[in-house]
Amino acid sequence: MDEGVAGYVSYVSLKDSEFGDNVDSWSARQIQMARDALSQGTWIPVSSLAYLYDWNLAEASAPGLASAESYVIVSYLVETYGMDKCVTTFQTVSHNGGSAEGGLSMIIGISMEQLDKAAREWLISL
Amino acid sequence: MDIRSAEVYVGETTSFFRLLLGADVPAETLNPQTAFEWDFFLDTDMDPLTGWTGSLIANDTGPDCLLRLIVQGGWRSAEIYNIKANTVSSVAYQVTGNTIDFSFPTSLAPLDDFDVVAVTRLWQDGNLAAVDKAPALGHYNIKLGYRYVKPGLPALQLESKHATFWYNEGNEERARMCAEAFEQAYEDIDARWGIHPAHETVYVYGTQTELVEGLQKYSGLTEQEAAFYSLSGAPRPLSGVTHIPPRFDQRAIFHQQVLQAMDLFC
Repeated sequence: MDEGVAGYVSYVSLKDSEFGDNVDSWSARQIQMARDALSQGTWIPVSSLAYLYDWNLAEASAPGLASAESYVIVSYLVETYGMDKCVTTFQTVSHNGGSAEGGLSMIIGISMEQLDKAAREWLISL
Repeated sequence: MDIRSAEVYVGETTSFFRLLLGADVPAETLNPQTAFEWDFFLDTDMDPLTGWTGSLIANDTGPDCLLRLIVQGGWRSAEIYNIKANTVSSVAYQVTGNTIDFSFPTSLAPLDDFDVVAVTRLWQDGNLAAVDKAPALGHYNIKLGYRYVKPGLPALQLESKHATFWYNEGNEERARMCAEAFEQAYEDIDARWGIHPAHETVYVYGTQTELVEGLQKYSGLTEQEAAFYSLSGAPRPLSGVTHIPPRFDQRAIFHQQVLQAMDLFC
């Protein structure tokens, strides 16, 4: 999630700056890459992006896709639940050193599977 | 042989490349064993690690396209050679005294942004006998102009409000851009989350190979760990030390600092 938050924050912070064109095209590339993964059946489930080890494996097997999906998932979470809940979820999981599923359920009230489905639907609706 | 100047114009439909030489272009060579070649080496992905590698000719670029005129015996040919796709297309050219003009459809090569080195070569019996190139060191970039970054680990210092930047001679402009992006991220993160990282040390590298070396020297990564970044990217900031690879733009630098902030508050 931290990669997704970093992508989201860098985008919203710079999109109205002099670098706006660059970050807009970066954002469009991420969204397109995630959309392509959906249409080609190569979408990486959220559960495979939740932990660093799995995330690194995913990124190594399909460079850029884990980052792109993380950006899309965090964008969905922020727009739906707000940045504070996102960050609190990340902090909760990091502090407890434990389950991403548990943190997501406790703070946002959805399961990993529900998040995956909702993020995919949100991506298609964009 | 000598190149006096090189000019490039990339139009929407047609591109024009011109070489002005120190002497008139010969109509033919003395014999078929002797050949002249006038080249523009184009690195359209601006990545020295991809494309043709030949630093003697192409300096610090990795060309993926070659625009050239060859004169061998009484034979002349002008073409653009796509090194990656291994395709050759004939291009229009005109020789007027000491000037060579090429023109070709812009669609033949991805020319939005690219690095270029102009070269004259003399071949004798298939062997390279003489070379002149412009620039002698570094390359030209179609948007930024002349670019030459002294090789080696960063040795020059630039202070910003919240960090010390290390960079190489020739990379001053990029170091300033990195400092600007860093400070913008610092202020944004401060306003957003109230996090104030300690004074940072930032290394701005001219090549990915130098970044790999710097990761080992300045952040204690093993050779194997550092080699993970030999083609692209950089790790998130490590204990107040940020490593910036040559391809990172403002957003990527901002992104790195957000990751560091999240490490700090988690």
